[in-house]
Amino acid sequence: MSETAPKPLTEAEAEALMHAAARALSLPIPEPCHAGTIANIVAASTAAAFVLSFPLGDTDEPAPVFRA
Amino acid sequence: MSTDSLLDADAVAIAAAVRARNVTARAVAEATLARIASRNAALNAFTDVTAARALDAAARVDRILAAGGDPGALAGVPYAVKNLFDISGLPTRAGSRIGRDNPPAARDATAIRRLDSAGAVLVGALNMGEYAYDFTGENAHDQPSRNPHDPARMSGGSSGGSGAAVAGRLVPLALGTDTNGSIRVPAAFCGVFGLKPTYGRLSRAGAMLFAASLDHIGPLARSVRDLAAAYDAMLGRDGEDPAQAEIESVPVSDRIANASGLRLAVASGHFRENAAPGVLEAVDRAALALGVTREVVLPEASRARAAAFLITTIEGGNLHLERLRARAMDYDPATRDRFLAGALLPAGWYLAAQRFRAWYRRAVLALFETVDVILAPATPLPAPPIGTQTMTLGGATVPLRPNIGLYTQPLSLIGLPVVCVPGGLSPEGLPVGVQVIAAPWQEEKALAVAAALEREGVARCPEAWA
Repeated sequence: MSETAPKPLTEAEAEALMHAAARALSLPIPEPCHAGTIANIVAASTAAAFVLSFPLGDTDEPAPVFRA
Repeated sequence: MSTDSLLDADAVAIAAAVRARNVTARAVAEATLARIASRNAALNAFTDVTAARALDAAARVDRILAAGGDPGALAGVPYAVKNLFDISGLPTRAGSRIGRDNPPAARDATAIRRLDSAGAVLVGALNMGEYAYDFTGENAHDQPSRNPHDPARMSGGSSGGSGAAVAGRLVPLALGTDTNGSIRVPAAFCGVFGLKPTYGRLSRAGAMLFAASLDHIGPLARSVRDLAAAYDAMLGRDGEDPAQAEIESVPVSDRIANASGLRLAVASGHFRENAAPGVLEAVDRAALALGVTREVVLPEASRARAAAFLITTIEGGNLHLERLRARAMDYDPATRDRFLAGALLPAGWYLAAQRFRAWYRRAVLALFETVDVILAPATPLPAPPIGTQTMTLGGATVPLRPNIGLYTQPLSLIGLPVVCVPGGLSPEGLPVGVQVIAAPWQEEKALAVAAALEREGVARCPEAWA
C-alpha cells in the first residue's frame, strides 16, 4: 500500500474544497446544502483515500469508456 | 382460468394464451388496467398509466393474430417501465420534479420499441428514486413506492416501482436500470427475479443516464424464462448507444434449460461479511441445492465498492452540472447534496478509481478462468421500514442508503451479468435475494443456474399480500 496516499478530509478541508471547486465550476452551492455537501465530500474523500492507497503501475490505464 | 387470474401467471404463459387465442390481448390489457386501478394506490408503483396506448397496442396484436400473423414472442404481455425511459408523448421525469417540465418525448426508448415489436403492451411508467441515485425506492416528489410484502417497507431502489409492480402482480414484466444495484436491490427486497446484463449488452438509448460508464438496463419478472424472453426481445445493435459493444447477440431462451457442467462457487470474503440474519442462509440454500462446496474470493471487492462510489458520484454530479446551477433546490433532498458534492470532486480521485477499475477487471476475469458462475448475497439486509436512515454494519451504525449496495456495487463496477433470484425469506418473513454472477457476455450461464434454482424450488417469488 502506498505510504503517500491521502488521508480522508476533515470537515474544514472539505468545506474549503467545496468553496474552491464551486468557484472553479461556477456552481453556486445554496446555503441550506452546505452541510450535506461537505458531509458527502468527506465521505467521498474516505473512499478516495482507500482507492488511492492501492498501488497501481504505469500500465494500469483508466477503464476504457471511450472508443474511437 | 379468468383473464384476471391469468395475470398471476408469468409473461411467457400470458403470451402463450394470447398466441393460442385462448384470450385476446385486449382482454389482458383491460384486466391489467383494472388491476392497476385497484392495487396501485396501496403500492404507488405507477406514476403514469398509458391506457389508450395499451388498448391500441393490444388491438394491433389481436388484428395480427386474426389475420394469421405472428405478433411476436411476447404477444399481449403487459409491461411497464421505470419512468426514466422515454415514452412517446410523456415528459421523461426520471423521478424528478425538474424532469416533468421537459417537453414530451418525441419517441420511445429503444428497449420499448423492441418489446413492442415482440408484441408486448406498454401500460405505463413506474416510480423510481430521483435520477436513479437511490437504493430505497423513496421519492420526495412522488412519494415512495411500497413493498408488496409489507407496504410500510421499502421497495428498494432505484427501480422501486418496477419491483413493486411485478411483486404486486400489477404487471408480469417491468424494465429497470442498474448502475450500482438498482435492478438487483428492488428485485431482492420485493422477492422477484431481476437481470442486469453485461455492461454494453442492451441499448440504453432513450433511457436517461445517471453514471454513464456504469449504467445498464434490464428486466424484472416473476420467472427466469420471462427474464430470458424480455432480454431476447431487447437484444440487437443500436447505433444510438455509444456504450453498446460490438458483440454478437445470441438469444438465450432456448439455451438455459441445462446448467450441468458449469463450474460453480460461492463468493466468500467481502460477500460473507456484514449480513443480517437470513441473508447468507439464502445463499447457502442455493449452494446446497446445486451441490456447490467451493468458495472463491473476488480480490479487493471492498475497494471496488469504493471505486464505484467515486465514479458514480463524479459522473452523476457532472451530468447534472447545468441543472444544479439552475435548479438545485428543486432536487429531492435525498439526492441533491450528493450530486452537488460529486460535481466538485477532484479529477485525480476519478482517474484513480477508473485505473483501479481496470486492475480489478483483470483480476476478476482471471478468477473466471476457473469458475463459470458465482453465488453471492444481493443485499446486506431485507427491506427496511420506509424512512430508515441508518443500519448496523460490522457492529457500527452507518448510513443506510449507500450501504444497501454493499454486495451489488463490486459486480456492476466491471459490468458483470447478474441474475438476482428470490432466495427465500428472512426470519421476519421478508424476501431475500441471491446474486447469480457470470463472466462478461455469459448471461446464459447465469440464467441457466437461476433456472436450475427455480426448478429446485429454491428460487421462487414468495406470495405477496396484494
